[in-house]
Amino acid sequence: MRQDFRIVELFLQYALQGLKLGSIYALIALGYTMVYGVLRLINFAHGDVFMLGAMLSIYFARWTKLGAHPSWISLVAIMAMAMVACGLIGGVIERVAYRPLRNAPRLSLLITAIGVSLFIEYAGQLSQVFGATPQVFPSLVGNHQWTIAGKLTISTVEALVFVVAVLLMLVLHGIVHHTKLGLAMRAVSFNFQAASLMGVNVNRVISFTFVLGSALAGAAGVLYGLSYHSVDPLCGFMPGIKAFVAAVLGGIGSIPGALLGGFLLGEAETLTAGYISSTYKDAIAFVILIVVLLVKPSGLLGKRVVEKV
Amino acid sequence: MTMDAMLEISDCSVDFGGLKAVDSLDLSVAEGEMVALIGPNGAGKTTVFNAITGVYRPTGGAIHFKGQSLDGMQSYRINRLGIARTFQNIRLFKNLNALDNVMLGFNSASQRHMIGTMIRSPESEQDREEIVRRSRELLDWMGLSAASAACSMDLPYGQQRRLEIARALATQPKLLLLDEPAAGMNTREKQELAGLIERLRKEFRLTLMVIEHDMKMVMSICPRIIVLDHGRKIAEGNPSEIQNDQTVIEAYLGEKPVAAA
Repeated sequence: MRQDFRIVELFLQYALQGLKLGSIYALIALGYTMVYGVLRLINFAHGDVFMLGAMLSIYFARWTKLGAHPSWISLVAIMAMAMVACGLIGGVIERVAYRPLRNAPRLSLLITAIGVSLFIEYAGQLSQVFGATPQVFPSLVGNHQWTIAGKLTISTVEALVFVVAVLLMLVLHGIVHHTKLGLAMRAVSFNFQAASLMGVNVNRVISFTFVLGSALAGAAGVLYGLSYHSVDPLCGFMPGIKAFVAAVLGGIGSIPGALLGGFLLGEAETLTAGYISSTYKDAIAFVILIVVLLVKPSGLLGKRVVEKV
Repeated sequence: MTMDAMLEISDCSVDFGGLKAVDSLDLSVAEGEMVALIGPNGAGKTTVFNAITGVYRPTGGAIHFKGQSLDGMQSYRINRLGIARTFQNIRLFKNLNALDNVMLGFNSASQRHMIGTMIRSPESEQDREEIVRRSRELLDWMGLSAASAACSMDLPYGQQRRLEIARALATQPKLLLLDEPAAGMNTREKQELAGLIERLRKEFRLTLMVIEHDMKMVMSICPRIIVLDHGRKIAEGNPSEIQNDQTVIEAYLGEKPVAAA
């Protein structure tokens, strides 16, 4: 009997960890899926925008001295700054790198995205920018361990990551489904030519989509920093790729799909690390990617798109 | 340029590689007119619409709308100047319901307050309610009130066509371009559509250009007809002139055989 309880307990503990990781993946995956929706582009620089969110927060915390005074206000302030900064960066990336290629073949756009990604990663490692060594992320908020339901432990940060992620997703849902711009985004994602002919300024909608997705990535960066404490200019690469896998798993282009994919991937990874070996935790994401592409390329919630000819 | 022309196309060409889809076309439409654009398949009719609405950039010549050159203008700007269109192959936003399709048209006219809509300020809420109200009105007008919540993809074909017209009207155009509005309709539906177009024209004070293959319909509703063939204008006139025009008959039926084959 006791043994059974231990098994359940351990599973739930892993699942909680998975939820935290999954929240971060889901937030990043939303940016991938939204940009794919309007532009049919896998924005490989998106993981690096996420990294910038984490990295810049360290500097914001230093400059504003908020890092030295952990409180909810510090957290909210730093997160807001990171979201604004990343939103702007995302908007600039779109304007400078992608918009000039609007009528170019899609492959050019993809290669440019990889270029932007490498640029951010390696420029970030210059000593004049962030430097290559990992930096300590300030604990912006007091971290308590809570014990729930007997022996399960959950920290403030873990709960926070999940709650913030869910809140941001609700805000996003509101924007997409209850605002004019959201309506325009949905129209553009279906057919941007027809949207343009109905008076929608497509470029503006695309810019807005980048800003929105990047702001979410910025928030994810802060949550990542709070959870893992150490960030460096390359720390966006793996989470970025994983979130891409999450978006594909859920069905790229689908917002609920990105959420589902993010949480499933977070769980898969944590459970793999817990029950098999942490050596395989990165591999599982790519195994999932390969399986999805083989079995259901449109993803769990994606719709099959019939190419127009 | 004539003073009262709303749309003035002068010496306009659209090339695709070696193919001249539209070849030195001159065409003008006065305010309040209802003009049909007809011609055999591949004559360049839809290309003319595409050139007007900024989908294709003309390779030569000019297009003016109310005296303003449309050269190099993006489609959404042209739409906001007052030109809207429908499509030969229906291009509704099939992921949206009927009401949203129409609302999108209204939205573009008032997309200034981006931040306002996001924080849902009272003004933007009012604005939104107003747009919902007007969209419903328009759906009513088009006989689509029962369909407003339906996903546009699930509507019957005839309703999809009408919804496309409603969506175009929502952008508040002065000039409406209808690309084969009666395609795929039966005789009764075509008659209804002809009546509807006539009512629309009066109610919304529209200037209309219609591409249509159904000659009976064209002849009955359009006082002026322009015939294209191989991208060139081969005839222009009222229905009876067009019916008796030798070039037009040849374009449609081929030249009279010189000798029996």
